[in-house]
Amino acid sequence: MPGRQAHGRPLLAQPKAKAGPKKSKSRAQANALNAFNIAQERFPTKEKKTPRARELDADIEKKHARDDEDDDDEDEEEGPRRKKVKAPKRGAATDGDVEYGSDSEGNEWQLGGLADDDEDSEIESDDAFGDSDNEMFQGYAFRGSKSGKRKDDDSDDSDDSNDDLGETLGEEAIDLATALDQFEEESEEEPEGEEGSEEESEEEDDSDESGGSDDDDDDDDVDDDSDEEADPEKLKELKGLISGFGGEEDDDESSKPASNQQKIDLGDLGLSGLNDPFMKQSVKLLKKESKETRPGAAKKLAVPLSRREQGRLDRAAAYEKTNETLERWTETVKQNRRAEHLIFPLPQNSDSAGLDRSELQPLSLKNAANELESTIMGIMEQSGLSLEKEKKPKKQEFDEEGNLLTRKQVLERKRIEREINSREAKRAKRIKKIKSKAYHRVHRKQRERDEMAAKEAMAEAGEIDSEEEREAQDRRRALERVGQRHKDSKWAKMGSKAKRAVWDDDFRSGLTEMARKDEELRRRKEGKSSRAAGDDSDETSSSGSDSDDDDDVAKIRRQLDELEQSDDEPQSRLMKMKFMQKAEAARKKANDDLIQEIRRELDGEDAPASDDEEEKAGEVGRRQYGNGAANPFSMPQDSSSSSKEKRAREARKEREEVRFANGDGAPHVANGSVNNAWSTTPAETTSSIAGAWSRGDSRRKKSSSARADDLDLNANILTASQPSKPKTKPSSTPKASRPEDDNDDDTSSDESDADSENRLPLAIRDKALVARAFAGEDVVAEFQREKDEIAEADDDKVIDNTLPGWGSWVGEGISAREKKRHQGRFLTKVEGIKKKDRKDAKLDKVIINEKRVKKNDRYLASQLPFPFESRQQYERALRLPVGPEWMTKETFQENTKPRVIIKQGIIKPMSKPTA
Amino acid sequence: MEAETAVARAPTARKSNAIVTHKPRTDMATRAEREKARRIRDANQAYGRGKQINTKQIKDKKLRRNLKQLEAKYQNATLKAKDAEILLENTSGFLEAEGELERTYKVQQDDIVANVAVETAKKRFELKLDQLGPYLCDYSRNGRELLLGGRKGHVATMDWREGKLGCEIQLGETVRDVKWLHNNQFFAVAQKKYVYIYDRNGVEIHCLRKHSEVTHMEFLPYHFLLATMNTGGVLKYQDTSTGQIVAELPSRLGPPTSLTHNPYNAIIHAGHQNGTVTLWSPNSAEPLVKLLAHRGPVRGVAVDREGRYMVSAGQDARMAVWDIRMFKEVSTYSTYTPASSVAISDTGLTAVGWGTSTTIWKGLFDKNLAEQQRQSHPYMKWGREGKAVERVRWCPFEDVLGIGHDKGFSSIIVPGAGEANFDAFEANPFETAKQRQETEVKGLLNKLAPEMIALDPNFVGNVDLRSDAQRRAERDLDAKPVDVAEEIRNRARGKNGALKKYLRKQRKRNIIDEKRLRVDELWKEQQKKNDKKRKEVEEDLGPALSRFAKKE
Repeated sequence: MPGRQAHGRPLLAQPKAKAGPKKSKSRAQANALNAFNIAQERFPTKEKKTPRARELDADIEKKHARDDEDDDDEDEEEGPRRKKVKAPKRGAATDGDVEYGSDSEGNEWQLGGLADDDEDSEIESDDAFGDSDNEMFQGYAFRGSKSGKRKDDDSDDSDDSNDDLGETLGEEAIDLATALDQFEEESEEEPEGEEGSEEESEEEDDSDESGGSDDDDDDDDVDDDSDEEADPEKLKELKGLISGFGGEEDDDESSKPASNQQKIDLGDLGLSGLNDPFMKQSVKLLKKESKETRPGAAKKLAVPLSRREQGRLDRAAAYEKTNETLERWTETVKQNRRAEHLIFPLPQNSDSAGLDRSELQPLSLKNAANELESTIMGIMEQSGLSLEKEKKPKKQEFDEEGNLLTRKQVLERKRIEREINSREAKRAKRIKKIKSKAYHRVHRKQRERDEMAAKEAMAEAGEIDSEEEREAQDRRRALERVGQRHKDSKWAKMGSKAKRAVWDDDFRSGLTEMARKDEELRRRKEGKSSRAAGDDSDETSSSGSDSDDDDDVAKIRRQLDELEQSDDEPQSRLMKMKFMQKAEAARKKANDDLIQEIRRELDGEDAPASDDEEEKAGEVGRRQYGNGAANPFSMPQDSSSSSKEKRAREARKEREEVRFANGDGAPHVANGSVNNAWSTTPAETTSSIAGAWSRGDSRRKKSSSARADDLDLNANILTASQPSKPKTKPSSTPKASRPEDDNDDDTSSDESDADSENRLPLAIRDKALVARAFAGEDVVAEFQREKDEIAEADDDKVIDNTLPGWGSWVGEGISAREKKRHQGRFLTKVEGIKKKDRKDAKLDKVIINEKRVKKNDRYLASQLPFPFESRQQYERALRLPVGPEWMTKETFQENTKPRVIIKQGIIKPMSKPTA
Repeated sequence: MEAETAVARAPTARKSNAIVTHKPRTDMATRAEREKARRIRDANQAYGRGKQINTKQIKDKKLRRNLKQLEAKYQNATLKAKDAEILLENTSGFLEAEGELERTYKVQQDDIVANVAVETAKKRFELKLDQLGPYLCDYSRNGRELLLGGRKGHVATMDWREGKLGCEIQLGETVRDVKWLHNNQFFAVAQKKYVYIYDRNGVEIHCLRKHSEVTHMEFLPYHFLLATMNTGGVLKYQDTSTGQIVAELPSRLGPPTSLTHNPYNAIIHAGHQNGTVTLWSPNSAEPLVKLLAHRGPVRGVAVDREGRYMVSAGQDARMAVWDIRMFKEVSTYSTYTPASSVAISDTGLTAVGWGTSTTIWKGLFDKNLAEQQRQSHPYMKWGREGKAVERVRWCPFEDVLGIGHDKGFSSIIVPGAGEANFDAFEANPFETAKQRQETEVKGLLNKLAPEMIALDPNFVGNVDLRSDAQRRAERDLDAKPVDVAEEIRNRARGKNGALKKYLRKQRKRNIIDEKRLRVDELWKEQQKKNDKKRKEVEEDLGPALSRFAKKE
């Protein structure tokens, strides 16, 4: 294809194309599949196919077009031009040969021979080169064969890489024919008589050619052959011609025609007879220029395109460029269109965009950002105010003799220590466990028994301090606290704010006094509370029974024995070290002591000792308040007993209160029974750990009569006269729902219902009576009737539209049968609401009006508004309220925010998208 | 406020008693995610606005995006609302019994008064008015003012907290009902023959002659409608802002025995002699719903604030709780004597006045429960003092129950009854005169049309689901064709240039139809008139001064 360049300078795309032949075979094959590369290769040819180029050599192109048609089946991605270029040589060599070949796509062709159906190849190209053609080609600046040769090699390479061995040849052959066809057109008057001889020669060479057709090295042979046959001068010229093609063959295919073109001659133009010296001179110039091979030499510029063409090209390029730049904005525009709110100036344009302003990093010498900072840091460093902490001096370890230990030794020592620790610690843990669990359990039992005895004794003696006393003590304690300064007091706060403690001695002494008092009170308080806590824990773990008491003791003893036996452990090398043995001994001693202690306690020797401790602990408690005489607790006892007692006392008191209330209230009969119900409890209450008010007890002892009386007792304020009649009738009240199946609750509600019935005036106490009272009008039946009527009225209806007298006789003398015949001829059915479709179909005692409320229609949308696809979507979109009454202020403001917000000041344009 | 009255406080969040099912957690959610999900669930329970739509199925991209944004807005709004609960500074609480055996209904008013702050204790008071018959009472919308009406013609208003009397008039005829209108400036009194409207000073402003022999009155504050029912059983709606009668609906069920309105959807509930309760809107000549609540006359009806439950009390000594969205009876209780009046407070306490006492029930209904619990005991009791209760009314935003009886009026303290946190947009107990005026104007601007009243108040804007055939069948073929000229005149009513502007706009449209022709005609007419006028003026002014004639 003709390029638009008149000289041999490669086009822009040429260097790229040059790189092509160097590719390896496999890569080339991959290339064939690579659409992008293909497109890249093809693209420049398209560009070259400008109208200008077509103008320049329209005739040649015409032929090419035809060639293209003929060679449709040729491999498209491999430039046909290149093969064409190669072809002449082949053609020259295989004069009159017939070659068959096929390309990779399975297309087959015949070489050399005259194809019957091929009109274009009627005249053999080789023969077309007669003597008379010499002058035709003389104008061509045939290159030196040397350069041609070199490029031939190149072409071979490229062929190698691109095609199968056999195919290469074939393709070249057919290309030769087509390439030479260019000249055929020009030498139309060539003799056709040579066809016969050609055919012969084809036949001759057929055998050897076809045999060695797939040989790549054919080239030389072919050359030889051609040498033999063609006369040297012609050959030379042809070679020149070939090299003219071949010189460009590894170039982009588009440039090859251009190189053809540049060797234009007067002869070419049909002006061989012209003897204009100027013309000749210009032709000579042309030749000279084409021969110029030095790289930097001035060559003639291409003929500039016409302004229109150029302009069009420029516009096309500019258009593409502009598109590219504009497309960068697409994402930005999309984003902005979709954004709910846009705020100008845009946040990404602000000066602080991209800066993390969330946190300030601490300053240090290393990260001082500027000179000032580093200077200041330096000064601070010098004046000993360094922000960086000084490194701690490394701790150095010494052994017992005071020798400095190395790091390794230290580590070793540590490891050893850890080992010992773990062993002894394990033992200690086991001991503790024994002590903590079973030990305590065993002990508590004992304590409780003691306590019980003590309390009984005390109760007999009447020594237990009463509620009044207790209250008095509490009061005293509170009074003690009243005057006290405390931490949250105004005084303390003011002081701390003013930092008075630094300079005011009075304040300081006050503070210490406060702390002391505080501590003291706290201790007192704690003394009591800790007892209570201990008591609680005891109670919770009191599930065990007394029977396994002895078992426990035995078990503990056994365990202790085990522990003692396990003391002698295998001595490791490590244990032989002196310090190890020392530490071990100390630990062992402690553990053994512990075991001994436990044993002692188990044997019961410890009672007095623990008592002493108890006594000591008691000093912080409330006993401090009373004087010695007032303290009634002389018996050994512990915390649980006192608290239990307290509870018992409380219970008793409450009972008294209840009694009191009953006595105060309206007189009632059932009081005695209540008291009885209560009176059964105390004995158990005192003995049992849980209080009399606990749930389990009451449930166990619950008798329905007692409960009923209790409730009556509660309710007796409401009713002046208490009917003593027991409930004889179960409640007829329909219970709508009772989620809890708890016995307790059930009875109580039953009771209350019965209660309420009892409290009703006699007239309506009986539900039957109520029913009878309103029996006059049976409202239910009437309501049902009305409902049925309405349902009937709303139901589907059939209307008889028959008009008497239309299509039938009316009047006197018409038989009933005749009348009947004409009835029901025109029936229309009016759709209504079927009974089963009514909203109230399944509702009892309800009539819902099914008629449409026409006045409401004004506020209905007649059809679904546009963007919505379903009613649900639309109606959902409506439900979001807009008023400030139905949402928080924040939500309201967010919802009413305008879409575009422009802040005051200079608004910078959007920054250019980078991608 | 009422926070102080609470003797024993309980957290407002009621524990849900629904069946607890422990599902093994199989989903892999982090703690934060679960926390977030829980938060959203809580917010939706309290402030949710219905089910989400599935945005994933929407095909149109833009719509999908918009609806997704919308859903996000919904969620955001609910979460914000939930978060804003932190701003509700007052907490409410109820009387709590300490043990199982203690009953809250045993607590007497004296006990409460003795244990609350002085300011709160003042809210308990008695008005001894034993001369002029059983008293009716009504609180204004913000709970500030009290209106009392004695059967024998004594009407008085008072700022009950200050103890300041507003006005006191003796009408000299039977007073059947009293009602505050939208604020404390006006009240309506149903007298022997007509209904009268008085201002705060007791000056008679209107006599509503169309409302004769009215026995019950209700006022719909958002629609400015006064609904009355007379002895003939005719329900009449009158717009108090325009004075027009909106609807007259004969119930055909005889004299009503009780009347109330549903604050949620402005539906009127009327109780009748035959034990039915009918639900009315001004748009329908027949009751929307009719339900048989009792066997005898319905003495009292009350609807809770959210319009979910109705409590009615009848002559058959029963009290029925109805779910009025499902129209199902939830439970019934017996009253000792037939109740005379029922009222439900903002927090759902139900006061039932019967005989000489009043019982206050807690937890008759709970919207958060799937199954309503039956209460075995009332929450509080009052009475037995020989005062026959005529009417009970809760004071808004206060823990106070007002009881009108034949010996006067009693104000009792009921811990936990009032809404602890008021919304000043809605009703402000501390409003100034200026605020009151502004609220009034705003209320008038936001007035809802009577046609907007329906069982489901959210119907506005919904899609009309009638089929085309149905619509065609229902089209009014006899309707008079709209006169274009008349329409234009109506549309163009207003300022001086309004007609001109309207005509100009109409002429700009390039559709030539009948209307357009009429518009042109009108336009020409007007032009001619203007020309003529101008000529006259010019003639008047004479040749020299005619240039100063006003051009139009």
